[in-house]
Amino acid sequence: MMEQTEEERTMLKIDHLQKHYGDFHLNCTMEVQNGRITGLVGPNGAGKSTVFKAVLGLIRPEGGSVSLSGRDVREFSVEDKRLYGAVLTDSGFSGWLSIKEIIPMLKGLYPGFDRRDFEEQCRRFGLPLNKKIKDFSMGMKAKLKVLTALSHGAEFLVLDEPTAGLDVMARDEILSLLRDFMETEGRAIFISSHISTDLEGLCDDIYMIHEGEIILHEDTDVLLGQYAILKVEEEQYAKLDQRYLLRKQRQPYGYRCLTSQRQFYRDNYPGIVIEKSGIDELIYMMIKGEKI
Amino acid sequence: MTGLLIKDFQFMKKNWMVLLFLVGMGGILFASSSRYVYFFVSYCTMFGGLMMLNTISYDSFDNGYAYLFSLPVTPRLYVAEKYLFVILTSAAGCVFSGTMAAFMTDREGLMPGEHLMVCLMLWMVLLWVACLMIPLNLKFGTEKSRSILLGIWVVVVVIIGSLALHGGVNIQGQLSRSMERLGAVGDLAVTGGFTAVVLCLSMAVSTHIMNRKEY
Repeated sequence: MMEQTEEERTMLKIDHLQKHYGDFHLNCTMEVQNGRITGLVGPNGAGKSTVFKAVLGLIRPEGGSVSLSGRDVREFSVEDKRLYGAVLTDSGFSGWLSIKEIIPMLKGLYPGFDRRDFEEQCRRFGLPLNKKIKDFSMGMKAKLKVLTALSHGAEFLVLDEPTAGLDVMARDEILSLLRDFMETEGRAIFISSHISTDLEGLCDDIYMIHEGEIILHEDTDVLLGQYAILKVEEEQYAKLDQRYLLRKQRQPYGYRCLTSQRQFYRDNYPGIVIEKSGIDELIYMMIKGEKI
Repeated sequence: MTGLLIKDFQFMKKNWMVLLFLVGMGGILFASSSRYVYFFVSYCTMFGGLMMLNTISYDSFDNGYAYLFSLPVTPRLYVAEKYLFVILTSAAGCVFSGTMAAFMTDREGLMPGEHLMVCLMLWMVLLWVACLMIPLNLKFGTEKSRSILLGIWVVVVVIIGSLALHGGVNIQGQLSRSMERLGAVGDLAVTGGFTAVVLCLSMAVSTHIMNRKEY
């Protein structure tokens, strides 16, 4: 079997994407590889939704480029747009329609739309077919958007906060659908979520964005396996090898430090407290911590 | 395109009670005197066209454009569908009212061929109005565009009134003489050609507006 080139492996390529809104400046470079689920995390207002909108061609970048499967998204035709499915956090189908009414519309828009499967999934997730979407709960609307994105054989999913408003059970079912989606070769997902545990269990790699800039990119396994929080007193901190410390934060007892080499400190400093860092902790330290 | 048309007809279906009421009102007026026959035709044609503005409101409501354009819909396709929709709905209104008028009245004494021509002319003139309203709606939204349209009418009336009153220009007379010179087929061809140009120009402007927008 021939090995794929770097270009063939890249599903989404964002190259120095720039957009300015008043004091906010986005300058972002990132990639989503074929066969992988890539997450984007960051605090509110960091630029996540702007990146998603640029990927979907909903805003005009002021610099840089966004390409999907090697083609600039601004040049996308209707056929190209059929290759992806999208979920946007603040926008959806018109609330005046019901699922029964959007089905023929989806059939018209996507030749690959699987009506039977879509209706079955709607029933499975407890979505009434005849009720107006405006009368749906937030969770029901979220489920409908994800099921729609999965309904037409897309190769790439662009999901901005797809699990927002869902309870634990529904979230788990949706995440399971996304894992099933990835069973087919040649697919990829680009996802953001405020619920870090969703991303920890789902993503292959994660980008962190803050004030419009990507400040960290790492494989999820590395983030969860090698990153850690060190809790040290002042004297311990003074003796620490600081080469592998990324951030520090002053505490009443001394310092909290973020490291990307947990094992190094575990082996060489047996006396210090080392805690695993989840994504929330990581975001907090990367943003609130002082750069070393 | 099919998906978008289905969506807009679904929206239209939502307003079938309003549609029935307004057509009924027009019908009552029409039944009261055959003098209102062409008012009824233009009223139904216009009403069919107005349905399109309603669909634009539905689309834009609650940041709906962002999701719509994440589907396989480009601004160009969206705009083209709106024009097709307005052509279809206004034509349906014209055919419905024109047929009723043809069979239920003396058509103000016009022959069937002349009646058909008047209906076609009315349809095309009302398409000009739609060609003005679509870009205004897309650019300024439903509320603002109504005020702007009203402003445009006032300006047009003032200009025509001033020309007639102070400039001694008899616009209606000149128009009638020109139409007589061209003959029925010529009138239809000129109006049709002008309508096609207006449609193309309006579509280009609307596409430009939608391409410039961010969602």
